[in-house]
Amino acid sequence: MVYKLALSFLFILILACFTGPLFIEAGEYEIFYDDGGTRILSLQESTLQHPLGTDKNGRDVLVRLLYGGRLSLLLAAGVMVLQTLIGITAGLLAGYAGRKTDLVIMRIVDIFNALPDIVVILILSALLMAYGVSGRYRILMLMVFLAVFGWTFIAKLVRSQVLYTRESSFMMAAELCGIPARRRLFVYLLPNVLGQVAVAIPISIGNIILTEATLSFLGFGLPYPYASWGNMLNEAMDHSILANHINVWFPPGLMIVLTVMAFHLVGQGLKEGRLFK
Amino acid sequence: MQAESADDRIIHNFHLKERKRTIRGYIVKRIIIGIFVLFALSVLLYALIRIMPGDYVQNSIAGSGRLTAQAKEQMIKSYGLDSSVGEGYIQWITNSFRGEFGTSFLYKKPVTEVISDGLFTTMLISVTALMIQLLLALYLGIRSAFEAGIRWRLFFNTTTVLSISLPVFFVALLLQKWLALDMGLFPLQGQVSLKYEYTGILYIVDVMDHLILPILTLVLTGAGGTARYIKEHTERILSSDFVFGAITRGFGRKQIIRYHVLPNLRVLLAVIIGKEIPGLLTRTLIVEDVFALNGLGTSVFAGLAMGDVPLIMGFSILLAFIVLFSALFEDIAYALSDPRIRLGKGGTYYGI
Repeated sequence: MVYKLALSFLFILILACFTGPLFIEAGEYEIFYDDGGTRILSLQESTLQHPLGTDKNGRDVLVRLLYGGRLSLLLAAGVMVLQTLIGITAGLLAGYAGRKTDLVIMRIVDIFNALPDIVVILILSALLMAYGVSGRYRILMLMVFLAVFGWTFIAKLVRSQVLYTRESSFMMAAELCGIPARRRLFVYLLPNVLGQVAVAIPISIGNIILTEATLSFLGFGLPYPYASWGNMLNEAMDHSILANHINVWFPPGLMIVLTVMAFHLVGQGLKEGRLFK
Repeated sequence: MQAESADDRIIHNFHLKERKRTIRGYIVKRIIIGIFVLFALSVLLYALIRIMPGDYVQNSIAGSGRLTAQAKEQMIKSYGLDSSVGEGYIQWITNSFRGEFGTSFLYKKPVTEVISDGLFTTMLISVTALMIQLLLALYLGIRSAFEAGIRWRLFFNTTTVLSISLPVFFVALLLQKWLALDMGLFPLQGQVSLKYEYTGILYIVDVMDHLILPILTLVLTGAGGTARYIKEHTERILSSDFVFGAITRGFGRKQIIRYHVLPNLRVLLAVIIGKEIPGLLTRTLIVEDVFALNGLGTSVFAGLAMGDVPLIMGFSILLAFIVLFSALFEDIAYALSDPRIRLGKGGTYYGI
């Protein structure tokens, strides 16, 4: 029940974030002025035109919420694809190719796990900012950075699954039948591993969204003009906004919590096999 | 129970000795690998930071009007930024072997001093938070492993999922808004009151009062994951034969917890702490930033924005050291707890 609720929430969220902006005329950084067109409508309470009010720079909070959600979800999906590809390749190699390859790959996993990822991404982002790289390109780079730090758990998962599966009798039978190693790897081993990876994906997407929001909040994630739930919350570092304008910072925070929670619940439902019952 | 024969005992002792030796070799191996990783990491980080185009001289004179080219050159020279990246690195590493990590450009103090100044607050809140978090997680995890009722299960699942999904900064902001601004129970931010100058015990109480909200933030965001982990393992313990035996012998819940669950969880606690450290540290840095505490996070974020090479290097190495150490700690604790783990046979064990 809860799992289905989470799944439908995600469905509605994705629908809203991807179709919503199509119906809204305003762009994500459009600034609204009052009727005379002279004064910026900053920090408005909720009105009919702006259901969640406007932020300090006079931008509609609801519009930015939708655009921010779209970008966060897209980014998370991109990171997930990248890190799954890297993780599966590395895990298969480590599990199947034997000791030396295994040792090298697992040491690389160790190094990436030991790297203080937030700090390194902060340094890399500062580097990109200093070079004056364009926003679009920085989003792509952020995706790569997150994937580079995220693939290790998939590699571990795949490796342990491969170590377990390759001892089973059907693998032995395949080997005795003279089926070549590449076919054994991709046709016999891989499908058995994919199930485990698929189950881990939703939870991992939730974690990516959380990390991205944290980086954006600190000002090193999604670049400035783009809306993101994390950098919308950054406005609450100003105490007068924190105290008096809850409509500016509470909705994005709530969206982060609900989205991450929904992904976790869906992942849990998949793991327990109760999602589609 | 059948008594052990002498032969059995000899074989048993032999295996025990063998096991100890392999574990010692394993630890040494892990430490050597750790040192290599640290080395590789320092090269990578140094190169990355030095390539950063906005160097410190550029950043610090940005607001201070005109400066002659000569004075600028002198500044660059005095900070050691004139050397090539390779030379600079060799200089840095030879110095750091002597325990000198250089002088922070930004704070004009030795890096070790800057870090140890901030480290106190960071350690204080993170260790306190970790203790409270572990106690809470132990209670919730063990209790929920016993309770079968739908109500308790719902409560446990909801609170832990919520705790895992809550972003640290959002919790910090919510607590600031709710408990500090609206209710006025705690100070909004900072580490000491600026209005009054307390001394002695009052000073300590004042600092404690300021640290309650940061610690609460850390506990709320960390306890859920740990509680789940403990619940999972407690359930595994409860389904084992010795617990079934204990139940048939008429043991109650309290006795089972005391004699079977807690001893088995003891080794696991080391693993949990090892796993928890990296994430806890990151969360602590963010909390320090939001609550404006004089911790590591505040000084390092400032140093990063200014391109303060020695400080960022020193901090990154410290962080990597802590993370590596906790991974080592976790590995060894696990290896010691489970003799079935094949040591040194290519299939080293990598936690779950």
